[in-house]
Parts: sequence; C-alpha cells; structure tokens
Amino acid sequence: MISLIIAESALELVPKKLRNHPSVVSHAKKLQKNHLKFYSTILGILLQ
Amino acid sequence: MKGIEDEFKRGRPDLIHLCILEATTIPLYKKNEIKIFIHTIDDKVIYLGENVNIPKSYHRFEGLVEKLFLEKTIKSNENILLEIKENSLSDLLDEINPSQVIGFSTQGKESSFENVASNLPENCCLVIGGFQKGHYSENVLNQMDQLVSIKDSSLEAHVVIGRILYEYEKTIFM
Repeated sequence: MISLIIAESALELVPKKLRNHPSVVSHAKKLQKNHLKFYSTILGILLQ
Repeated sequence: MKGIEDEFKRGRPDLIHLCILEATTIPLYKKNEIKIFIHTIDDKVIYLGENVNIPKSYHRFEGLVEKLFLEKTIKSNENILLEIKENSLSDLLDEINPSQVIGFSTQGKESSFENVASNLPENCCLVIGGFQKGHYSENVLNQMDQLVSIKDSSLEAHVVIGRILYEYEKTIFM
C-alpha cells in the first residue's frame, strides 16, 4: 500500500479580498449562489 | 488573482479534478492498493474513501466540492466517500506515518518514472504539487525525505500521477 498526496492544491474558499469583486458577484448571481458564502471552485473558472 | 498571496498557485481547481480522475480510475485504486489525500493551499486535507467515483464532469465535481466544504463529509450508505479536515501536511504525515516521503519537483534529483517506481518502499508516500506554476513552499519541502525530478522541463501534475502510478502498477500487478 502506498499513499498519494496532492499538495498545496487550489481548492479553497473565495479569498475574502475577492468576494466582492464584480466578476465574482456577477458569476455568483448567474449561478444563483450567494457570493459571500459560496465556495470557490468557482474561483478557477473566473480567473482562468 | 493579483495582490493575493501565492497568486500563481491558486485559482485552478480544474487541475485537481484531472489529478483525482487520473488517480481514482486505475486498477491500483480499485484494488485498494493506494490511499489518496488532497492537501489544500490553506492547510485542509481531503480524505478520499475506497472506490469513490469522482464525477467526470467538472461542473458536477465543483458541486461536490462545494457540498464537501459546507458539510465536511460526503456519505453514501453510511460509507464516507469524502471528508475534509483542518490538517496541515505535517499533521497528515504524522497520521499516515509513511516509511518514506518522496516529492516530485523539477528541483529534485534526476531520475525516471521506472526507476522511482521500482524502488518504492512499502508504505511510502508520494507527494505531487497540485498547482499550475511555481514550487512547493518551505513547509512542504521540509516534510520530504527525497525530491526527484523526472524531466528538466515541468510536467503537468496529472501526467506525473498517471505515469508514476502506471509504473508502480507494473511492479505489483504484472
């Protein structure tokens, strides 16, 4: 048996600094999510 | 992402989706010969249970991760499929207590997939960076017993996972 760790992965909450960014807010609206609470895999889509 | 810490290592959860798919759709995982953990940049650890089928669609994966962050566990018939805990990499390594920790980085000692796979000791731990650019932080580097480089140019994380696990499979199944 071996273990695999994918380290320092970018799965995280939307950083506080970005939560009110217009693109985060508008994308959250589009997906009908609360931009203050929703979690941030969305961050990746926004910023690619 | 400008102005936030480690900006080059953040904002690409799709890379992790590819990595998890690569690691969970192979015989090694189906036969419970590997345990998979995802350590996040803000020091949380996602534990993958046995025989978890991760959604192939990125949007469904995104929904699953959102649910995981909210509810902390994803269960099916009382079996825990995914669980997230506030753990650093060091806490995780203390918990799994591997015989050796081997990291993959362009800054490591040159080797090949075949060579690394054929010399893996029992109960060792492979560490692969889940970020698009840059190198491990000092905290992570300090946890490694060995750092190996497969090529002088960098390879994508899911490619490294696919190839090293295939080479390892060959040593135990073939």
